Amino acid sequence: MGRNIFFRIAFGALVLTTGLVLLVNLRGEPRVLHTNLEKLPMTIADYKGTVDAFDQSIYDALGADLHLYRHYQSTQGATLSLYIGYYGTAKGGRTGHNPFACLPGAGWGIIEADKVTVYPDHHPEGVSVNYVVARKDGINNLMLHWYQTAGDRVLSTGLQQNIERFRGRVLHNRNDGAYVQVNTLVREDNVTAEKERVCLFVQEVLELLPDYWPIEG
Amino acid sequence: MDTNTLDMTLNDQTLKWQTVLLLTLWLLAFSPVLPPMVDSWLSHSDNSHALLVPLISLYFLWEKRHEALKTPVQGSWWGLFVLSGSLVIYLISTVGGIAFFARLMFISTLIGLVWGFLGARMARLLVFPLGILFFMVPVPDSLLSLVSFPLQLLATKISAGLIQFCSIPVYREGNMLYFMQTQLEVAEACSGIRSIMSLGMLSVIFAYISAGDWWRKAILVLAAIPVALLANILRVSGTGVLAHFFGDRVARGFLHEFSGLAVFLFGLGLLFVVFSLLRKIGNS
Repeated sequence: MGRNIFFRIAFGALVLTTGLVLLVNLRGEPRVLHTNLEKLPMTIADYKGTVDAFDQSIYDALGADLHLYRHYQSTQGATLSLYIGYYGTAKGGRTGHNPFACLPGAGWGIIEADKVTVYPDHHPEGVSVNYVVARKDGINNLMLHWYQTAGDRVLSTGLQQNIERFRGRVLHNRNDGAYVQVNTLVREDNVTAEKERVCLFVQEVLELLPDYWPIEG
Repeated sequence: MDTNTLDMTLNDQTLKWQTVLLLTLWLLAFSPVLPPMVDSWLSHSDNSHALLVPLISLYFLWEKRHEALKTPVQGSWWGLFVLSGSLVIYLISTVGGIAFFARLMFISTLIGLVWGFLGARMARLLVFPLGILFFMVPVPDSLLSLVSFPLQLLATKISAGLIQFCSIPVYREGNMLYFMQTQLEVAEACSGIRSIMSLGMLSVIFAYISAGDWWRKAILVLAAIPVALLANILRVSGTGVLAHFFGDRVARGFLHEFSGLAVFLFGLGLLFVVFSLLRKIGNS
């Protein structure tokens, strides 16, 4: 067997790969055409929202295509906050930050972390989201958070999100996604009742999000 | 499973041109990966050490040039297997938009190419100059934050203790240090991960150029982690002490950059001390 066989195989493999890679790159990388999420209703159930903003340095660190930060207040005076950070395909569709790291960094001690199932209309079987209670200076921060992708897919872990991003990119050349967080500050004796209230609000948000999902092209 | 064919070396003109052609094709195949990778070296300070990696690799390749020209060339099926496998993973990563794996395959394809076309002896000879290229692949942010957040907290906690030890009142809350007159945030960039990566790379080079047993080399490489953490803790503590006396301007601009450089040099010095100690232990 001549040594040219090694050259031919290596040459063939590299030429084939170059061709296929160029072909794949012809698909191009989709850009965010309409972020849409900012059109999410200011009134959700009996809650009315007000727009807020974090410090610019936080937005710079998070690096999302769109940040939505609102405080919602019910007619009974109950409040909660909604944050959505949306990352288009060009930004990889995900954030490197998550509450399990960021909350301790901000001085909150995580005292409970679990998953809860929420039942939006288009997912009657229920979807699992992360439930966290963190505590600082005698105040509890009750938080539900998840990753949303492909409009209506709800994922609670980074691994699930990575698998979904891969699937989305292979099948639809799109792997954009959002980190969604709903939280409220509660007294210690009120956590269970507040958890139910936040879950109901999350259910409403989950029902709305697919209709306001960004458009890429 | 090397196949002995002709007893050739890289001095052979045909072989030389074939090698150049294959390397050109390799670069062409990975051309979509390169600009974003260079961009992340330039735009993300955690990756800035990667700028030096190709130069370091070229230096060690140059050092090996005489030996490489004398080494008999034998194709290897195992090498071709590594080459093909790397190219398949590269294709899947490109279709699936996984930049990290595509970048890793940039290096493993080169190793497979050298091994497959020039043979196992050549691959063994060039394993260090080729292997060190892995340091130029940026670690994904999601993976980096898994490590950097705990390190950030650790650096803040220990620094708060050290600052209190200097009789300076300080209150820590998460990554924030509160002083009487000012406050400091121990940001992600202060986690020490940057020092770990750059000192880690240097310790691997130290280990390679030093003679001695494998265990001494292993200790030297592993020592980079505590050395980088210690250097970083000293930087955070020092900044805290200075901030107490001169305000938070010490944590910004030139002074902050300068302290970063000074602490990196301190870490490098410490690593050299470990290197010298290990040499002495080995000799005794």
